[in-house]
Amino acid sequence: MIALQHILDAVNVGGLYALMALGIGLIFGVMRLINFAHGEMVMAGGYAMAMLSALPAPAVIAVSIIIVVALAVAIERGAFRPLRGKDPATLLVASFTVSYFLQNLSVLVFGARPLPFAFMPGLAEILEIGGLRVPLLQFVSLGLTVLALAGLAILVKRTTIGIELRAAAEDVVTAQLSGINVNRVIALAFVISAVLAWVVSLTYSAQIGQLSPAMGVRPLIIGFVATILGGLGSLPGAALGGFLVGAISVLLEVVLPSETRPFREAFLFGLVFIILVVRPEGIVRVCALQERV
Amino acid sequence: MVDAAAQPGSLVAFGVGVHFEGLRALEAVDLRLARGEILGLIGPNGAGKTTLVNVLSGYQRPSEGGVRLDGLGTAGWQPHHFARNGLGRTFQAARLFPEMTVLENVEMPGVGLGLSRRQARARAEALLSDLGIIHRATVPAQALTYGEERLVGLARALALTPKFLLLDEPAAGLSPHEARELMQRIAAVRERFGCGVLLIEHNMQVIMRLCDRVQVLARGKTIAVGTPTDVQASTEVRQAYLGASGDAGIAIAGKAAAAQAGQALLAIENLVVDYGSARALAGVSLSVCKGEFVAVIGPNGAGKSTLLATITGLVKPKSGTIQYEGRRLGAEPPARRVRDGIALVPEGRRILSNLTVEENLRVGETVRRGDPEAARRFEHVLATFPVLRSRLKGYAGRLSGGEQQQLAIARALLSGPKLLLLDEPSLGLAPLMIEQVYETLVKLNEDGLTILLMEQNANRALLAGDRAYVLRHGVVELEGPTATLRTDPAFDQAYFGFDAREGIATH
Repeated sequence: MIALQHILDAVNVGGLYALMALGIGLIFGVMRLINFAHGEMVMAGGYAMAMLSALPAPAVIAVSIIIVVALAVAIERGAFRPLRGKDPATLLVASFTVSYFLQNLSVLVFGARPLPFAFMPGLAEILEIGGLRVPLLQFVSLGLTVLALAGLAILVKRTTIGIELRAAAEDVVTAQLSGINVNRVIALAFVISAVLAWVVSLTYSAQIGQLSPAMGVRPLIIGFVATILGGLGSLPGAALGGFLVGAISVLLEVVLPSETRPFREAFLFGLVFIILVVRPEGIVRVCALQERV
Repeated sequence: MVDAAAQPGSLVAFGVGVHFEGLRALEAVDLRLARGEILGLIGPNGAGKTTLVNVLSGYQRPSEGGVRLDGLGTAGWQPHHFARNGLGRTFQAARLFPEMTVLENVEMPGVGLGLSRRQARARAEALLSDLGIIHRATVPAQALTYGEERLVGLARALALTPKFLLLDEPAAGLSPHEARELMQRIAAVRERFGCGVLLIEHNMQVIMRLCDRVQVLARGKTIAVGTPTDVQASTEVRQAYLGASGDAGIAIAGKAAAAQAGQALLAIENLVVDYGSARALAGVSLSVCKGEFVAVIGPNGAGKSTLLATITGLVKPKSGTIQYEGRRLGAEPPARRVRDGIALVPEGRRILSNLTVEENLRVGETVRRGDPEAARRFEHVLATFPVLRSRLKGYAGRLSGGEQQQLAIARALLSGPKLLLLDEPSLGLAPLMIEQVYETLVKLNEDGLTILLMEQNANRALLAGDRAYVLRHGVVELEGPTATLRTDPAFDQAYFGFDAREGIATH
């Protein structure tokens, strides 16, 4: 039973990191940009839901999604599009800038003190299933994660726009020469990554029970590590990396003696480090990123 | 076969093989460069020249064979070990530190060798005077012209006081005048430092004038070594560049239609394109009539790919005009030009290897989606390339080179082009495959498609096309009907750029 509980935990935590990793991986794929402002999408989603919580739940969900998507598109237009084709370092610095700007804007508007996150308090309810005590939230987040992953997989694999997305991710010039509107494809990648970030907002905010301007940083860092671990540029790799990091972190939680638990993340990153020494290109190798000597 | 035993005073590669995942970049290549000698390394695109230089300088570990530097074994060496033992090299791009001054750039290797700052500076100044650019010493490297950049790159390599100097296309992108000056500098360097120089170069004039010996690579193997005169006279070498001359049989049946003075689909006037400070096209004019099959033939670095990049809108010209369907092209982005009927089959095919064959084809269809003709066109293309039909669900990266070339052409055809542009479709293909690709092109052309083709493989292109242009160093050197060019004595001069009396002995 305990084992089952741990597996459920691992899948849940892993799912959250997988969603983060996919959001980061999608943007990296089409723009070769590591979007550190992705964490602030999560933060924005959390605050949006908290501010709107007087409305009926479906309205809260719909409006908060729209807000996060609009924010992502605005960032793409305002900050990243003008820099497209510039040095990757420039793009990286720009994404840090946007990230800090949004964090500080949030301090300005909502204050630096954490706010309680009370949207859908029913999520905290504990279900008893055959001796297992599981919060409803775990099922909801599991369901949402599965839905988001399946939706993304269908979109990317089955639809025309998904093919265009993958084409642009592999070779922008060939995509252009085939008549693909690269602007539209990149904007779409930002929209999808925003929706993924929103799913994380809901489950992550509900898990930690509070909102703060810097709340997006931790999932971003871990999601980023998961992207690298999975193989930068590969979407299945990103998902795999996310679940792997989740599984490792739950495993460490279980096996580490309690006095070392505060250093759990040090162990986690240490393990990731070792994996990357053995397999520097990540779990899934992407041919398109290999440079000719 | 070069003796693998210690050979002091020379740089020796013995039995070098390099394999990249299934691809053999080099196979059992021997090379010997003595001090005081200038050895030219030539060969068509993809012959393995840069890979060999990377092996000789420690940037690429050989899968087989090895390198001896001045009698020392080099197994397990890092690039800096090669550098400290007297091997200097330049890169295709100069790779200077842009913010540092010219002097600082050239001081750097001396400091790395453990000289004091003052000694390193004195040596750098001496080198810059020798190369005639001391007047630019205090300028940041990013302010240099392209020609100056190449000289400073050379000075930096010399600052290591190398016993052996590897130069990777030092004259690429230089004007004929600059190239001539560089030749003199290189000759002077050899006199003064007594070092052995290995020169990769596409500029045949540079090679033939400067080198004591020339080694020719093709498809990863040495096909000839000898004096410039020997190599010029070698029919094998000529074939490696121009393709096998297959004048037997493959005569193209009546395409008289093209001879008519049709309406120009594409008309280019005085096109000038610069990359930074390097001039890629220096006033190119050409035209393609409706229904015509036109080839642009030229060696590496002639400006062929640049010409196509400009027509497709990937590169903006500095001056000159491109007219398509009687309309002047301006700032239309590439996607717009595809919609207007200009499709490119790019060099190296650029297959989307993580996508399936079918997805690649769907990508090609982008601008014609929803077109009532789309389904019929798709069927027609699959009928033209039946091999693709059986591989639709497989990943495109798994296709062989020839199949990838067919996929690239199929992908371009699905955009419903009026003008099909191809960049070296024969590159890296086996002779039989090349034949198949060309037969397809001729067939497409007979069905009414206008084709503009860039080729190094001159003989094959001259058999297929109606008219051809010979492009060298960004200038059209010769043009005319292919039937005339095939036998025109001026052709070699235009393609290789030899003086007539030094010209390749043909026949």
